[in-house]
Amino acid sequence: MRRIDPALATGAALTALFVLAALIAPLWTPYDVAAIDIAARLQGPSTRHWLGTDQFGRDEFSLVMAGASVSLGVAGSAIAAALALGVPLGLVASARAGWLDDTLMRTADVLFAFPGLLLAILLSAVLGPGAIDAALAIALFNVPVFARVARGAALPIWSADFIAAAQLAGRSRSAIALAHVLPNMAAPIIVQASIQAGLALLGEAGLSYAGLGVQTPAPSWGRMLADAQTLIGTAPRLAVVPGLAIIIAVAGFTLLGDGLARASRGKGKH
Amino acid sequence: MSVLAFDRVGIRYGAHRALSEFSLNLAPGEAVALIGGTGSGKSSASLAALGLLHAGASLEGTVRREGRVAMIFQEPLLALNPLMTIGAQVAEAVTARHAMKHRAAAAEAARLLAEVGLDPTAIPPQRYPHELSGGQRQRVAIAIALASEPAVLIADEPTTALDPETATQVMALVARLVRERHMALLLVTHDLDLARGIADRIVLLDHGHVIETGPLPAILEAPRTAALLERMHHRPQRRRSQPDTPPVLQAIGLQHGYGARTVIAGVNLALHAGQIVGLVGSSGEGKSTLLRLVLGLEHPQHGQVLIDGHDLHKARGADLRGLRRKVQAVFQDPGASLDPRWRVGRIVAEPLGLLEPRLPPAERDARVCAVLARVGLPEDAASRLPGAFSGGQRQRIALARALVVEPEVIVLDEATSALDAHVRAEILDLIASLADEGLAFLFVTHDRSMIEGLADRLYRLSAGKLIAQDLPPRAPREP
Repeated sequence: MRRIDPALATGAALTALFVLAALIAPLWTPYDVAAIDIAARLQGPSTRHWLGTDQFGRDEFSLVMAGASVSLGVAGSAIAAALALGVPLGLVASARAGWLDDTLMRTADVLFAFPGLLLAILLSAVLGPGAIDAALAIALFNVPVFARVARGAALPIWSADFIAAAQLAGRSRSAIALAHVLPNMAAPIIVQASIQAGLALLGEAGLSYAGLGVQTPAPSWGRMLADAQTLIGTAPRLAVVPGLAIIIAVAGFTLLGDGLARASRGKGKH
Repeated sequence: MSVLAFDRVGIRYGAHRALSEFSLNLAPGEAVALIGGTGSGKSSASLAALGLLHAGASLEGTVRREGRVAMIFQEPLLALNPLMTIGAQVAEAVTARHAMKHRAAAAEAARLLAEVGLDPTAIPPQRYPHELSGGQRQRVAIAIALASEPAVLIADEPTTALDPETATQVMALVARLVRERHMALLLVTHDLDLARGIADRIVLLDHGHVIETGPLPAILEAPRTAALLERMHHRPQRRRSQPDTPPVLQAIGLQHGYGARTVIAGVNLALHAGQIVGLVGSSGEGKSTLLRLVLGLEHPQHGQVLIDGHDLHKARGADLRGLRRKVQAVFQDPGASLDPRWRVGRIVAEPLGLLEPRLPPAERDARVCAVLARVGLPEDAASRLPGAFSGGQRQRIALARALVVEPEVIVLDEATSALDAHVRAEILDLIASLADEGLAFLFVTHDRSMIEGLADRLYRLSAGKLIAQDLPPRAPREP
């Protein structure tokens, strides 16, 4: 008897919707997002334009799709980079108790002490605005998160009997870390990656909103939101659409992460 | 009238049925022993009596309680709070029953501690659990159980962590308390001798079913009793070993501690080819530390571990691998000692990396196949994950991994305690036949009656030192 967790199913569906839109957008959108059609500006939803058009007559639905690509690109590469750096650091810290562990974890503490988004804004301001810089900034404040989670997941594995058995089999500590510890800590890291992806999306949207993320003419949900601000009285739809898109994507990843966490806990219990 | 009544109780954990159609009535002042091996469902029955079944368990039938039920556990160290004095812990149990002033509770606690034989002049209530012996800790646990003025006392293997003399004293105490306080006693154990002195009635459990029930000694005549007891107290046939060879494993003056605490205080031990040496002792007496030292997983502060005369802790590189090949281990919980993400073939092959020169892949596979067959696993086992096997089969996988490099010594850390009586008997036979082929075993266990039937020598680890124990004469034991 297998019951499906509704939160997990919702999260998976929303995430799939977002990823699908992001993957299709570079190949096909209903309209060219760069095509300006002043005659058709600020139209409401219709059969031709499902979500209406913006102040330059661009198709809002196409813009949202293209924005998904940008968000996934920035957030995805940021999370990938943070994983690639944070997980090995956490694994090393777990394998070598002592000064190395202490140094790595105290450095992580210092990074944690900075509000993440503020750090990203600071970095974007220093490095200059742009998609790559935004991804770097988001990656940086995710590295200590993954280092922490990886270390926490690895520590109990190190005390398992199969590690002692591997030591008796003459395996070196680094070989054990790669062959036994790393594969067994995948579950909590995948869960955390999903939750952090949601936060990274939010970070990307925030940076773009502040003008520190993706630059014109590439569409971005954060900037769509900023541009809509001046028209909030005449066309509130232009603010609601990217806002909803952000909520759907962030909620999707967060629910997915929570659901996966519950699923892996449940499996451990029975 | 009964103080505790099970009416057709069934307990399931998912698809696994731990107990079926279990009915039992306990009258005040009556002592019943629930006897069965590991996996017989006896502990599930006692947990159901307390209403302490795990969240994943489903209960059928009814358990009726008149008055309070208290329990004493196998491991008194785990049942006590290490940061509270024994007096405070008993007083806490007293105030949980009756709201009373701090001073009155302390006085009542002192009275209870005296009642269980902890004389306040020798063992004042201000002591902490770690300052007491195993038997004294169990007495504290009994005092805590008494504080709730129970109508029923459940004792789940209350003496397995104790040496025989202390066990006798603790059981005498339980018998006296049950008589004086007119409590009902449910003694849960695998040890018939323990039940013999105290129980009015015996209920025999096997795989969740009651197979025999009746008063002593009539029940011993029943044919199914004899069959079950034979399995539970299985004594494999052994040839006598010849200890005239030099020792394969030798510990000399081992000392180790953590911080200011000394855990191992000078241990000398020699293990000869073909010998089985048993090691018993309570939790917290340093058994695990001693094993880690002997296996070279931890470095001792003083002393040496010699494998065929070579110092294990000084060896490096190829020399260390050569020594490691000679000493392998099987751990208690096969669920934790096999990497859940590795296929069995890869798990068993892992120690083959110790061999010089490296074996070609075909030869590795052949070795793995041969050793899996040796421990009685099916041929296709190598391609499956450990999760696809039962506890007993997993322990065979762990044994296969230890055997694959043809070691001279295997260290068994409670290697049979997670197995049911049938499987355990088979594993013990396998160990005995391996010992007859010349393999030496160091067998750490809680189960004294099991190791007494198997070992050539037996030690108890107490306060970091080994104390030689007498073994009963080796003869087929009559049940």
